[in-house]
Amino acid sequence: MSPQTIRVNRDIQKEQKERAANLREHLSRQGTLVINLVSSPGAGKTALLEATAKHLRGKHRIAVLVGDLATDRDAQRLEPFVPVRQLTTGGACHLEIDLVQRGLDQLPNEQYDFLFIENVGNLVCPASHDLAEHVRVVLLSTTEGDDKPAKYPKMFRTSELLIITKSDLLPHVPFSIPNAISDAKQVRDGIETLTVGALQGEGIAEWCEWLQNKRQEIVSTTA
Amino acid sequence: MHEHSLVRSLLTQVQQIALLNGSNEVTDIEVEVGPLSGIESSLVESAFTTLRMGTCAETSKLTVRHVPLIVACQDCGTETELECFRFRCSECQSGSVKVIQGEIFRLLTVTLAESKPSEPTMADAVTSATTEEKRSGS
Repeated sequence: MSPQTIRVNRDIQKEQKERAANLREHLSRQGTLVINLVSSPGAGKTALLEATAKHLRGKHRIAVLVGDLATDRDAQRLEPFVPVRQLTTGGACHLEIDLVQRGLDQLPNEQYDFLFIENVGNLVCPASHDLAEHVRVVLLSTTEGDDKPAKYPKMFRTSELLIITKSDLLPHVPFSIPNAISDAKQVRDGIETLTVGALQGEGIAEWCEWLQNKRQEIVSTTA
Repeated sequence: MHEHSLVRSLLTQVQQIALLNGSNEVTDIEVEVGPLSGIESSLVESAFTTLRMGTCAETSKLTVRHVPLIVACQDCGTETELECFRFRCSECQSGSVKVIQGEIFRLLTVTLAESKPSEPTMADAVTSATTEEKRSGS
């Protein structure tokens, strides 16, 4: 038999995407909104989650899966407020659906209203991996360049909400909120934006309201 | 750098395809990447060179085909090839556009070698020669 060329024409990540879609559907039915938080290292994902957990405590059941290359320091910071599991990637620059599933299996078996996945700090690789999230939220801190959306288009293209963090530092840094938003809208016209200062609590109430509205959308679509 | 995990996944799929088609040797693999695939093709190639060792694709050639980024306008239906990451319809300037090409890392084709169980080795040649001799001798 002569050489045989087989036409496959298939997304290499098809299987992972299907698993993510199944998990998302399962969690939707439980009324759990899954939020994938992405940003560069140090943009304030953990600080935002600390403030969020304090704000939502007593009102909603929330849990966190936190990805980190080597330590469990973020998990330690969040432990006083919420059930949290560390996903140590062993050097990998992003999380994948298997790791999320494993982390979820280790959480107390409850129905959560919000499941936050704090991704590894990286604006490149995490953009290509569906973690069963309903919403991807990208953080951009005022101590970074406001040109990040133009430099990392895929991440901003695939995010539904842009949160500008560390608003308290705005008077001291050359960061332009209008420039950042305008660049983000070039890659995703409908991207929503919020500004927060997690340490002082600025914008946290608006962010939590955004989350509650998103969860309502999921719950009403699934019901 | 996540190309390693994607190439590992690619090789798993290639091996399954070879197995399903009764082959143990892959000669060519063709993949497609686009500007929004989140893939650096040189990193794909170097990961491939390392990870193919010990698989049925060990001696295969990987071809990476680059496709442009194309969006379809959700308002007027026009398809636009984007030169940069400015997601706008070229016709009506709407920002409501959907990516229809250039964001997937896709396996296009797998070419399998001629389906012999294995390449005849020197040992095989000797064995068959001996058999021939026995036959002619009998």
